[in-house]
Amino acid sequence: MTRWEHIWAVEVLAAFAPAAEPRIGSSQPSKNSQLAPREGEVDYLRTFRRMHAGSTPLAGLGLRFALWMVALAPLWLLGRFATFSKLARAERTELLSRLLRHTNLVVRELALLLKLTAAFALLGTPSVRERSGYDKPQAAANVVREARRALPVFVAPAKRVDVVAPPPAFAINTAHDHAPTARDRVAS
Amino acid sequence: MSRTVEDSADIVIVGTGAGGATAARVLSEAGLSVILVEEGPALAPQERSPGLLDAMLESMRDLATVSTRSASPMPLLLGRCVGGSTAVNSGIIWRLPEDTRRDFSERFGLASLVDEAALDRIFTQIERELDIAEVPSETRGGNANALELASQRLGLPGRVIRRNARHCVGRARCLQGCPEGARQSMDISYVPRALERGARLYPLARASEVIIERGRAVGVRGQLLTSEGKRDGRFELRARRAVIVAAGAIYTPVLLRNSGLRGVVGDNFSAHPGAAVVGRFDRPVGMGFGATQAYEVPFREQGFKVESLAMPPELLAARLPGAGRDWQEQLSQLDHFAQFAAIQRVAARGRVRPGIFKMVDIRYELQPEDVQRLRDSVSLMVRMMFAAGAVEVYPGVASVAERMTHPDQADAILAQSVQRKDFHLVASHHFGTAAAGGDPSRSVVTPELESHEVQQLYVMDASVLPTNLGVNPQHSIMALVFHAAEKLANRESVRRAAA
Repeated sequence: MTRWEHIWAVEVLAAFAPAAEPRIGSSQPSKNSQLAPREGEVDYLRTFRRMHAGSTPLAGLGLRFALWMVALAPLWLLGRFATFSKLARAERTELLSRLLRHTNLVVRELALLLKLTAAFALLGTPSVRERSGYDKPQAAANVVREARRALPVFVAPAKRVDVVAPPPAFAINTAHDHAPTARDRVAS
Repeated sequence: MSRTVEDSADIVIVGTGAGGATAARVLSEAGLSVILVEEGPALAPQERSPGLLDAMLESMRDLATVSTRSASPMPLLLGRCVGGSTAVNSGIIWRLPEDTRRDFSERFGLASLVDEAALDRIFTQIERELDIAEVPSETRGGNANALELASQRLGLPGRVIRRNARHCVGRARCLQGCPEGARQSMDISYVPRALERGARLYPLARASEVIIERGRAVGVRGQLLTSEGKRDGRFELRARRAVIVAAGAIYTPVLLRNSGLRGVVGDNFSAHPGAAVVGRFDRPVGMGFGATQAYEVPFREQGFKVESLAMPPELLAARLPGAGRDWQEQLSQLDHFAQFAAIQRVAARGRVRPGIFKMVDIRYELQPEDVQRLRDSVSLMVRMMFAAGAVEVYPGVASVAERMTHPDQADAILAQSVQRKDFHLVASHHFGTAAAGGDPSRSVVTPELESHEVQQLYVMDASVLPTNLGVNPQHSIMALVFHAAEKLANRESVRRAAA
């Protein structure tokens, strides 16, 4: 990614959920701004990079193209000789809204891809997530839980399984604690 | 390339999803030695990340950015971890519908594979082993309750979903991998069961080729990976009796073609594209609690099924309209939303091929009748959302109102001017790319699921289903594979007895 793309990634993603502004005539932010991040609270660039690295090469290219599309949208959509960076906050929001409703599917989907990235960044930030009140750990805890049977929880090494000597071919298993198997049926 | 792993067993299985794990469970308990190869990591429930992005990076192929190549691309959801897609789905269980079973038998020559009595026995056994039951009322959650209410008010044939969950506590995190180990996905059920019987598992190992010698499959080779997905060596696993490919309907045909198989391998791709509708309520719905999916309304004759679908907040947020302050106002009420989704039994058929840069090339275009089905289902879901009490509905259809406030606005979606490109679709169930059948010119594997072309090479996953099902396929895949694996075990037993 280029330096310009780094800058645009932060500006564009932050524009989906800009920082809270005080209500008119009040020093307090609106209740509706409770999810608005504080300055530096959300690491948009890291999320963008992780999305880019985790996608297919084609989708990664699409993510970068989406940035260029939005960055240059003032020119091709509004007819203004400017980049996204030069727009005022309200203009950025309006531009993103128009891109999300665009009649061209590719434009719409690329804008949605950026919005999804912004959502990953925003709600992937623990402090914002907590403010959202979405998770309901208390409700989950209130569910009457029966005593859980011991699960055959699979714990395998995360990186490597050592090769072990193969068992003898066609070793006969006799310890059946489940329903009869195919072998049982054949044997009988 | 720092490491080389070599090993051998009677059976080598590529993939640990519904097909591969079930085959391993049957064959290992029949006394055969089994090796399982899985491209993704092995994650214990407590190791699963709560954040959606982390969870998707760990266990979802390419962050669900694998898409169809079509005028309107459609992303595909593919699990890539031990357990495959069963580790990151909602665990919805349906037996193979009777009309489809008869179709498989009569039109595709699969009478022995879909024998009614055998399947009934196997379905019953799997249901017992995986604790399959209706979602209990205390963990259905508000989203499912909304769909149930809509179903009752409109007189629709709704039902509580049956899932493979054991003591679910309703964390609504099915799509990230259950942190409680409650859902009986393959990574905590049949894979460990096979390991207890001596099967060996190689996670983070990407199969690149089935080794074929003198017309017989004798092993699998590929690359070992680090947990970050970088190459970390190579492996070669030899199979004395059979190689079973169970990498799913997208990557099974890629592996087979990369191994030299041709014919109709990769043709006949079909799926269940899904569309979703979101509704805003004037009271909390509580989507963040409950089984991810707990209620459904099947419309079998119309070719779609409506389901409650609770979303992780990141995905729900992206689905809400607007940007800036408008979007933030929506986000401030995240617990006031419900979502219904409809999976479509479409007529479209596509094809899957290996692509450039190790990508996969999937061509798939919906047919006009499929688009009509989309219009019908989304329009109905808008009405259902209002019936449940929503004050505002977001249909997610580009050419109609972004926000609807009255049920009659749903009629706009039925207009012929609403086209495929207006819908945002995701395909989560994939079928048919190595179809089973009696005719080698139209199918890839026999009714025993052995390749027509290469001896000792089997395909045991959703690829073998010759058509889509119209219902969630996990149970059908497991049952058909269970049946075919039993037959394979029986043949091996007879062969050994003769020897």
